[in-house]
Amino acid sequence: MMDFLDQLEAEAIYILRETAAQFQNPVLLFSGGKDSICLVHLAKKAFFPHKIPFPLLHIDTGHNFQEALDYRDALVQDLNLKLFIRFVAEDMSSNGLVDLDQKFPSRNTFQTISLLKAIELYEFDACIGGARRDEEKARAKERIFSHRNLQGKWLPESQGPEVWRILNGSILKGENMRVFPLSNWTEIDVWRYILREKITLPSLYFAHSRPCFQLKDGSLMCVNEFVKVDDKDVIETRKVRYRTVGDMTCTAAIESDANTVSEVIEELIHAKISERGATRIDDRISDAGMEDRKKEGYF
Amino acid sequence: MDMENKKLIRLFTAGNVDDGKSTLIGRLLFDSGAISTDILLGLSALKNSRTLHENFDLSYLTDGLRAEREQGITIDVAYKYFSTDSHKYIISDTPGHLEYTRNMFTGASLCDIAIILIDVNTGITEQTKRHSKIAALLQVSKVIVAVNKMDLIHYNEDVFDKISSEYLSFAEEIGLVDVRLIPLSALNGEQVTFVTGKMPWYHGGTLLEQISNFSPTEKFNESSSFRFQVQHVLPTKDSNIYLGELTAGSVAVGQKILVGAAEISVTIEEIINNFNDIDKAYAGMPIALKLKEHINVNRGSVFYDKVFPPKISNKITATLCWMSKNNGVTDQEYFLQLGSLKVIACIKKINGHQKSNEIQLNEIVAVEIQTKEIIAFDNYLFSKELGSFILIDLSNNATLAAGTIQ
Repeated sequence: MMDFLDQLEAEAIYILRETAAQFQNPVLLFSGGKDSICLVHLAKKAFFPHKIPFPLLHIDTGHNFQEALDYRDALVQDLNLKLFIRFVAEDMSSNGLVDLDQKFPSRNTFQTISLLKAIELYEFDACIGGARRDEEKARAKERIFSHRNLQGKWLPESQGPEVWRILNGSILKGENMRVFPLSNWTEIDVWRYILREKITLPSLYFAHSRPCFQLKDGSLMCVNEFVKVDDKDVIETRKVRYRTVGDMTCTAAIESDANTVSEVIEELIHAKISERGATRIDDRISDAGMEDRKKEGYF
Repeated sequence: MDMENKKLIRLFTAGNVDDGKSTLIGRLLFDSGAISTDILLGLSALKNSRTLHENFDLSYLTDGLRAEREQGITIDVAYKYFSTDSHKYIISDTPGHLEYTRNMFTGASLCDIAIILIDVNTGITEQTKRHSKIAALLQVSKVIVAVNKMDLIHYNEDVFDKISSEYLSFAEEIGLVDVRLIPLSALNGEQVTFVTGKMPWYHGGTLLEQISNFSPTEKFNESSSFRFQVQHVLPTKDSNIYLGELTAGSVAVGQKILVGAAEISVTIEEIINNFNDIDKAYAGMPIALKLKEHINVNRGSVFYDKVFPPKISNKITATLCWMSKNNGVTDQEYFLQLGSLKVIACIKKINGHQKSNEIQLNEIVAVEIQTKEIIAFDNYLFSKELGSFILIDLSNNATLAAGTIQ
C-alpha cells in the first residue's frame, strides 16, 4: 500500500525521469535549502544505480549562510556531480548595477539576470527547481513543465494545457523549460519526507543561538556583514531557526526550540504563519511581487 | 502520528462564472485550518470587486494572478492543499469561462472527485453541462453537485429539489454514475463544513463529509494486468536499465513478459526500487528494470503480460477535446504523445460532425486516428496512463488537444 508520501515521491521521480529523457541539457537549480536538497535525494532515487545525469547550478547572491555553502560542497563531492556557480555580484558589475542603498540590500531580483545568463551561456534547456505551489499564490498557478520564451519570460495568460500526467517537453531552440517536481508538496510534506528518508540538512534549520534584532513587523533578522545595523536596532542573542534558506539580507529567522526533524514537524503543525510570510521580507514589497519577478524570468 | 496509509486525493471545482467556486475553496481551506494568519491579513487588506460582504474575500486565495484580481475572474487553474485525518487533498480551482476550457481540463484530468457548482438562482446552464460532460469523459469517480447561494433564496427546499431532479436526469443521459447533490452557502459556510440547522430538510451531510467518505479504488493488482512504459533508458555495458512506473498490475523477478508492438518475449532479471533490489513490484511504484535478454527497447515502449495484452494497432478510436484556436484538420500530421511515447499521427475521420473535416476550439468529438507506426495502448476505462494522449503541433510544439481512447 502506497501512502501519500510514496505517491508524491513517485510523481516527483516520474517528472525527473521525463526531464532527463526529453531534454538535451537539463540542470538542477540548487540553493542549499531543504527543497533543493530533497530534489537531489529524489534524483538519486530516480536514476539509481546510475548517478544523477545532470549538473547542479547555484545562483550565488554572495549573501550566503556558510552552513549552506559547506553543505553544498560536501554534497557535490559525495555524489560526484558537476556544480556550476554563477555569481550575482559579477553579473551586476558587468551590467553597471550596484547594490540597493537600503538597510537590507537584497540581491533577489538581480538573481534573474544571472540565471538567464547561465541558461544562455551553458545552453541549459530545462532548469529543475524546488518551488512548490503552496508557497505563493502565483506559484500556485504554474504548470509542472513551465515554459519560458526566447526572452526567458513566463507568460501566465498563455500557459498551454497540461493534462493527466503527460508532460509536453517540446521547445524551440533558445526557449527554456522550468521543471517543478515538488509542485504538489507542501512545507510539512517536505519535512515528513526528510524525516522518513533520514535526509540531513544544514544546521541552521534547527534551533541555535544567534545575535538578532527585531523588525517592526516582528521579523527576526540575524546580524551579519550584509545588513546595515544602526543604533535603533536592539541586538540580543535569541534561540532561532530558519524555515527557509535564502539571501541573508531578506531571510528572517523564527524563534524556535526545535532541535530535531520531528520537533520541527510538531512546531509546523501549530504554526500560524505561512512559510514565506514568516521568513521572506522581500515578498512584502507588493501584492504581485512574485508574479512580476517570475514574468521577468525568476526561478 | 496517524500518517499510515494516508492517501492523496485530487478534486476539482468547476461551474459557471460567478457561481462561487473560489469562495467555496476558500471556505474549505479556511474551515480546515489550512490558511495562515498572514495570508488572512492579506485578504482583509486587499479587497476587490468580488467582495460582496464585509467578510474576507475568500476567492482572493486562489485568484493568484494580477489579471484575475483586476478582472475579478479565474483565468487559470490554481492548486491548493489541505489535509484531514484520513487523506491529503489537492484541490484544483478551475476557470468557469468557456474560453478557458483548456485550463479547466488541465485541472480536472487527474482528479478523483468533481465538485460542480450551480448558482441556485440561475440553475443549470450550458457551462454546467459542459463541465459535467468533461467529468464524464474523464471518468471522474465521484461527482458532487454543490447547489450554492442557498442563503439568497432563504434555504428553500423546493427550488433545490427542482434543480436536483433536473440535474440527475441529465447526469443519467451522459453516463455519470456516482452523483450527489448538496444545497449550501459557500459564503456563510453552511453545509460546507458545518450545519447550523438552516436546512433541516436535507440529510446528506456536509460537503466535507461527502469528500471525506470517498476512498480511491485500488488499481488492478493481478499480475496479468501488468503494465510498464519505458520512460528513460540507462545504457550499461551488459544490458540496459529501463526506468519507468508500474501503472497497473504487478511484476516479479523471473516473470516472462512481452515488450512493445513487436510482442518480443523477455524475462525480468532485476527490479530496483528505493535503492534496493526487490522481488516484486506493484502498481504505482517507480522502478528500474533489467531484462535477461540483451535487446534494445526504446522510450515509450510498453511491457505487459501475454494473458492480458494492450491493444496493438495503428488505428485509435478516441474522444478529443480540442484546446487550440487553430482548428484540427483531418489528414494533417501531428505528434501524438501517449505517456512517454511520441509518434506522428493524423485524424482520419471525425464522427457525427456536420462540418466534417475540422474541429474547433472547445469542441468534444469522436474521432478515428491513425498513427504512422503500430503502437501499444489501452482503453481509457482500464488505464488513464496508457488510454490517454495529447496532440502536439509539429511546428510550434503547442498542445492542441487531449484524447481518451475507447
